[in-house]
Amino acid sequence: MDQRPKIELEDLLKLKRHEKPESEFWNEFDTGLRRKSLEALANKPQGFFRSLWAHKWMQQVGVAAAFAICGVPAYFGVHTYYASSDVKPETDNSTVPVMVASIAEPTVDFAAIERNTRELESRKRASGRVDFVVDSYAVDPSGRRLMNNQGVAASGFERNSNRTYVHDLVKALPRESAVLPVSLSY
Amino acid sequence: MLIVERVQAGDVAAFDILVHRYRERLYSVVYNLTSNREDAMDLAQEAFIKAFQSINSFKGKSSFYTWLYRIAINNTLSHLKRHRNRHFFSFDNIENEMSQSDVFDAVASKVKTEKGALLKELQERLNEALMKLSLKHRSVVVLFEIEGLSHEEISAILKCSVGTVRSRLHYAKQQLKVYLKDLVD
Repeated sequence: MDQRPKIELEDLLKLKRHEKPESEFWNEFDTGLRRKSLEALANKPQGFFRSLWAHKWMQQVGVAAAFAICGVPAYFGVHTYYASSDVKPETDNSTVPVMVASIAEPTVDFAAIERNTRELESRKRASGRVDFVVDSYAVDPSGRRLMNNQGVAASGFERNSNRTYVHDLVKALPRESAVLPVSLSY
Repeated sequence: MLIVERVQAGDVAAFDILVHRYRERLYSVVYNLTSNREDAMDLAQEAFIKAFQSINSFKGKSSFYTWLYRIAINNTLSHLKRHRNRHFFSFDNIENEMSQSDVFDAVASKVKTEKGALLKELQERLNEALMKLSLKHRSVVVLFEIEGLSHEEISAILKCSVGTVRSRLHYAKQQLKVYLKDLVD
């Protein structure tokens, strides 16, 4: 007759309680836990802001804050510029086109525009109709504007003996109406 | 003031006391779920870190170790789901007391194997059998049969009813008996 005790599944599973790590394991465990805790602490701000961003209301606040920081100064900056200078967007469409130039991106120096505007307007007041003469020039694709290499544009000009007489000064060229820069002589 | 309350009040050092109090039990449950000592160490450490980070969400509705177990088990189950197809065993040492137990003697006489060789073989067989169970069945067996938790404690940790715990346990043991039929009477 078999004298050995009956083997139950439960007893067999309890044998797993004897699987234990050696004592040195816990030093490694504590060291690793300390290191990971510090890493988690170092990464906390990022996780914190990311979790904040997960809230929809926080995204709305973020967008509003971004507009307040960037949008409002930009808006008032543009209006202050136009309010404090003679430079205005182009509105005069009365001139006959001379030629169409290829499109290139102009670099507009607004400080120079202001300087030239003041100077040329004083010349205009002194000499009547003609503001300056250009030997070479370019016009925008619409053919209605002429521009010098500092971004100064004229909407009124006429050609005579290979010279162009420019009047009806002076407009700042909007960036989107691209024209080639030209050399300009007074 | 309870230790947990001290941690909640900002006493970081008090958390070390909790770590030292629960690290072996926490590691054990994670080890028995994964059968991999390296993964178990990482997952138990992660559980402590997560517990520390969310210590203020512990309201004392359950015991601290139930709450801690829940974090550790959820973390481990997520890990096992992510690495569903990866099964690397990495076992802990077996204490000498195991080879002196009556059950071990009985198994040795039943399978007629030399005790030294049987020790390693038995460890592998038990871990393999557990790993064949689904995660929810394995969790219940580990917590009840190996960790010695009650049905109520398990239902609180796994957030399911006591009836579900009982039925999962019953099914899991049926499965294990099939896997270990040459060892069990």
